[in-house]
This record gives sequence, C-alpha cells and structure tokens, in this order.
Amino acid sequence: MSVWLCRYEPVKRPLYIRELDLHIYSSQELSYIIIHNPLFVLEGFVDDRLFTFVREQLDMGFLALKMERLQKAGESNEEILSLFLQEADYCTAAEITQFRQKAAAFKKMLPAEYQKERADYLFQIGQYLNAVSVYNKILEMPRDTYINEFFLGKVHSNIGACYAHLFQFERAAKAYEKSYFYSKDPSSLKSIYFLTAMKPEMNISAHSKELLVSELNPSWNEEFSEIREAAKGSEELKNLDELFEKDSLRRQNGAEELISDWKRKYRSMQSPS
Amino acid sequence: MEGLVLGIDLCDSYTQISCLKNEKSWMIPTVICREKQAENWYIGEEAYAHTLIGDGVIVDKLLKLTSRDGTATIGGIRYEAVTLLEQFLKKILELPQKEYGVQAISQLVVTLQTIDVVLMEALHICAERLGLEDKKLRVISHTESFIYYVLSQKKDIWNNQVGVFDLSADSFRYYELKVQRGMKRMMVIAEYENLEEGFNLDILGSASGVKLADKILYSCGERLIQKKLYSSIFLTGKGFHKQDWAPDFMKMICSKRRVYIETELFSKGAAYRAEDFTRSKTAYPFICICEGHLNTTVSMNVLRGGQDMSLVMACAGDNWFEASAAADVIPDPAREIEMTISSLDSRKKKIVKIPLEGFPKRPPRTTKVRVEVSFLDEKTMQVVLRDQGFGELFPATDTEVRQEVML
Repeated sequence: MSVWLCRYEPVKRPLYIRELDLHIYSSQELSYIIIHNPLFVLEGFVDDRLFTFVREQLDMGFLALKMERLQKAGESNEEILSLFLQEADYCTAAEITQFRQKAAAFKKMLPAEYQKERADYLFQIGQYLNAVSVYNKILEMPRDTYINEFFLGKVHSNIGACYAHLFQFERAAKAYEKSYFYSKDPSSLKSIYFLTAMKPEMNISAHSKELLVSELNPSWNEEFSEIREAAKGSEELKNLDELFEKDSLRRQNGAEELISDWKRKYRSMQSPS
Repeated sequence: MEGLVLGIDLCDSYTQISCLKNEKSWMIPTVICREKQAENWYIGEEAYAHTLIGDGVIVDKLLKLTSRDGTATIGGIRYEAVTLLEQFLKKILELPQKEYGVQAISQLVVTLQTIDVVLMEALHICAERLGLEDKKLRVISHTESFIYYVLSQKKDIWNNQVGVFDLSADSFRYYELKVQRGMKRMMVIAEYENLEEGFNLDILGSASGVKLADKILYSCGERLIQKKLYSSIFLTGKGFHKQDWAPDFMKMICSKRRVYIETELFSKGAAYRAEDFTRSKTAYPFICICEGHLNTTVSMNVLRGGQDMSLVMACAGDNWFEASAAADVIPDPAREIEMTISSLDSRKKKIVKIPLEGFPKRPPRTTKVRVEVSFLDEKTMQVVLRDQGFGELFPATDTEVRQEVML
C-alpha cells in the first residue's frame, strides 16, 4: 500500500474547465485530468490561465515560470504537461511515461484519424457541438485511402449521434441519411427510425421516408419498445417520480434545482471551445 | 517595558508564585474570602483574618472545587469555582505586580501536581478573563517543572540521577530524573511515585509523631535510594521547611550525597519554563519525557517526491494536550490508514491500521483523506479520518472514522 502526501494548496479561485464543466481545486485533480484526458489537454489547454492557476493558486511559482519558458521556447504541450506531472507529485513514473507514449501515438496518427479520435473524445465527455465542429473539419479534408466511404459513413453517423443528444432530431436524421449513403449500414436507418418513433411529427426527407419503407426491419419496433421500457426503470426517472411525491415546497425546490442542472448541462454540451 | 515572567505552583493547600526578577517568591494558603457585605476579595492569611473576624466567608480546596465544576455561595451569591479561581489568581498575581510596579505579564506558567484537563481549561478561562493572551499561559505538571528547575542548575547537579522528596500537607511524593545522552537529542526522563506512607503534617506537633514521621521517611528513603548514584537530592514541600524533626532520615540521605533544600522548587521550575517560552530558541534542547508529555512518536509512511518518508504527526516529548496534527493523504488502495507508534526508550515499533470503513468506493487514488491526530491523555491518541473526496470529480462525503488508539 502506498500513501501519497498532499501538498498544502490554499486554492481560493479554482481552475474552471468549461469543456468538462469542472472546477479544479488541487494539483492532484489537475494531474488526474491530464493523464485521463490526453486528447483534451494536448490542444488549447496549456495557456496563460493554466500558468496563472499553477502560480497563484497552487503556489508553485517556480514551476509556472518553467512551464511558461518551455512554451516560449516552442516546446510541445506534452513536454510542458509532463513537467507539471513530475513536479505535482501525484502520478507515478509509469503513468507519466504512458502519457508521453499516448501523446507520441497521437502525433503518429494521420490527421483525419487524430481529428476523429479527438471528436470521439469530445462526444464522450458530452461536448456534442464541439465534436460536430471537429467532425465537419474532417469532412473538409481531401479524400484518400483512409478517408474512404466507410470512414465518412462513420463520421456522419457520429454527427447524427451528436445532434440526437442535443435533441436536434431533424439535423440528426439528415446526418444518418448521409451516413447510410456512404456506408449502406442499416444501423443508420435504424437510428432514423428511432428518431421518428420518438418524434413522430418530425420532418424527414422523402428519400429517408422511402428508405424506411423499403428497408424497414420488423425487429426495430420491438427493440425500440424494449429500450423505452428499460428507460422507464432508469435511476433518473425514479428520482423524478420521488420528487413528484414530495410536498409542494420541496417539489418546487427540487424541480428548480433539476431544471437548472439540466440547463447548465445542455449549455455545456453546446459551449464552443 | 518588559512584562513579568512568572511561575505559579498551584496546590489545594498552598500556592507559591515565583518571579525570576530578583528570584523572589511568595507562598500563601490557597483560600479565598469575600466580605459578606461587599464585593471585596482576600486571599491567604488575609482571608483567614477576615473569616476569624466574622465579616467574610472563606472557600478552600479551590482546585478540587474547580475540577468537579462546583459552586460556592457567598453572601447569597452563587459563584462558580472558575470565578473564585479567577479572583484568587488575580489577587496572587498582584503580589509581584505591586512589588515590581509592573502590570504586564510576558509569560505565566502554572504547575499542577497532576495534570487535570478540566482544571487546565478552567485556568485558560481565568487567563482570558484576566486579559491574558491564551499563549501567555501554559500549564505544566510538577514533574516538568522539576525537570526545568534541575536543568537550570549547574551541570554537575544533574550529571547522574536527581531525586526529589516532596512532603506537603496533602501528599508525599518522590520524583526521579535521569538524563540520557548519546542520542540525536539529549533525553530527560522524569517520573514520580506517590508514596502511600504519606502522613498528616499535624503529627509533627507531638514527640511521638515526630519520631514516627522520621521513621517513615527513613524507611522510604532507604527503599527508594538504595545504591543508586545521585548527582543531587532535593527536599521540597512544607514538610521540609524545617528538617530537624527528621535526624535519622537526614543523616541517611546526606551520607556521601549532595542534598539541597528548595521549598520553591516547583514554582521556580515553572518560572524557568516560562522564561524559556519567551525565547525564540529554547535554552533546553532536549526531549522531555515526563507526565504531560508523550513518550512515543506517531508517524505515517508517505510518498513525497517519489520517495518513502516518515511523516511525524506527534513527537515523543511533545505536550500531549498541545500535540495535534492534520495531513491530507491519498491512500492507494483506499482501504486503511497505517500509523507507526515508536517508543523512544525501548525503540519498539507498533503498527496501527485504521480501516476506512464506510468510505465510498472510487477509482484508484481519488480518495483524499484528512488525517487528524490529537491526544486524550499521554497514553490515548484520537485519530479522525475524514473523507475529502477528490474535488468535483468525486465529491467529498461526510464519512468519518474516529478511533482511539492506546499508545
């Protein structure tokens, strides 16, 4: 068993990471974010705001100075962050090596492959609009052996998923339609079917309508019903039911809190990087 | 102008106050009296006088009264013991204040025969009410003031063992001190023994009583001293204000030994301790192991800068009632916190494992634990482990584990 001793860090103004909707209060948390989110921290994260936090809040002035100097000398973000990880005394040497290896692996990737990894990561952390923006950049890249029909089908399918999470069902349906155009993958049609099942009044293109009629799989309806049933037993829904059983004051307060949380999360999903 | 540096030996029968300035001491009975018709307070002999005249009501056994949080009613007013103690301290402090024309107190150390937490807290309340900053009052045991008194003397006085016979109206005690050298820091170990043979000093009023008392002392002295090598022996307490009543004991004890009579040993020791508190660097660079002090070191093995190191939470020689420490650690796996208790004299080590019961399950190294260590007495450590979570990633819960550890 090992026990890490934590530095005394009187953080008064935490570092807010909008993309993760997270406030960072310690060097340990910052180290954790760096090693678990390399795709996020390697682009647009190492900036003056980070240096100020390290210097003023973590009280690591000398380290902040060294990080700034590395940046001015043109060193990569990976080098600057590795220096922080070493000095912050939270990660093991193996973890820092792993971080470097991941960064090196990303560098070796083809631009489209790397951007897709990045967009997929943004999708995973709920940054749907930012993910769409990166996927669209990929679509602007010239076609090659990597950017083939299958790859484009995947990208469009992911754009569809992003819009679906943002409740922009029409846009999602268009993206799935394009995905089917490139990949001929029936799962894209199934997604359109699900979207129409959730929002029957939704407008979809005539072509999509035709495809749904010609390619309709009877099992989709059954699958959708199962998903809907499963969703009824979800924790969130149970909490909501419990809230409505409370007295009016508590119900009102709980509802306000919940709606404000939903709004905050939805704004965060759409926030531009 | 510099304030006074004072030591008070507070006992239920007599109280002594010593001031290092001109080495002056006062000794007065620990009694307080209030006039029946007016809010005028008297202490010591004056208190007896007013009581005998019949215009005052006297209260004695002030320390026992305070320890049991008692009260006393004078002139129809119910006084809490702490208020009476406050008045008593105010009056006794006036003695050196008037003598030297100085009101300010730079440091005050009160020495008690035995450390009593309730009494100690009451003394701090009194100090606050008397306008004395909390840090300017320290409370120590007789054993500790004995150490500071002895180590303030020339070195040949404490080269080997030092013994003290303390014969007072309510107890008979033997103290012993030895200095251990050859360690990183010199260590001074002092202990005491309550002698069951203690007797009421009133028996010294009769010839047969004197003879019996001498015999008791002789037998105790012989048993305790045996063939030990002493640098010096001190006799203190009201019983030794005169020594001619114990010829056999004095003859035996003075044989090939240096014996000193010091009736103000504890109050002077307290004053020396007080003087040391005023210094930026101690003049007594030793580890003090005695009543009121820890004789074990409590530490945790932690990782710092990739290296294993021992984080000392409390050190042997620290005052147990002042020793407290806190540290934030991240255990991996978050199952338990392990503490090492090292005994200085025997060099034995004991490992204590405190399970993190009820702590939420989280990914590796995402549970920060605040470890707080304090002491309930010299032999009992209290450890509190609080879940600090891991920022907003894994929010803290109000889970905490409390455990008392016998040292």
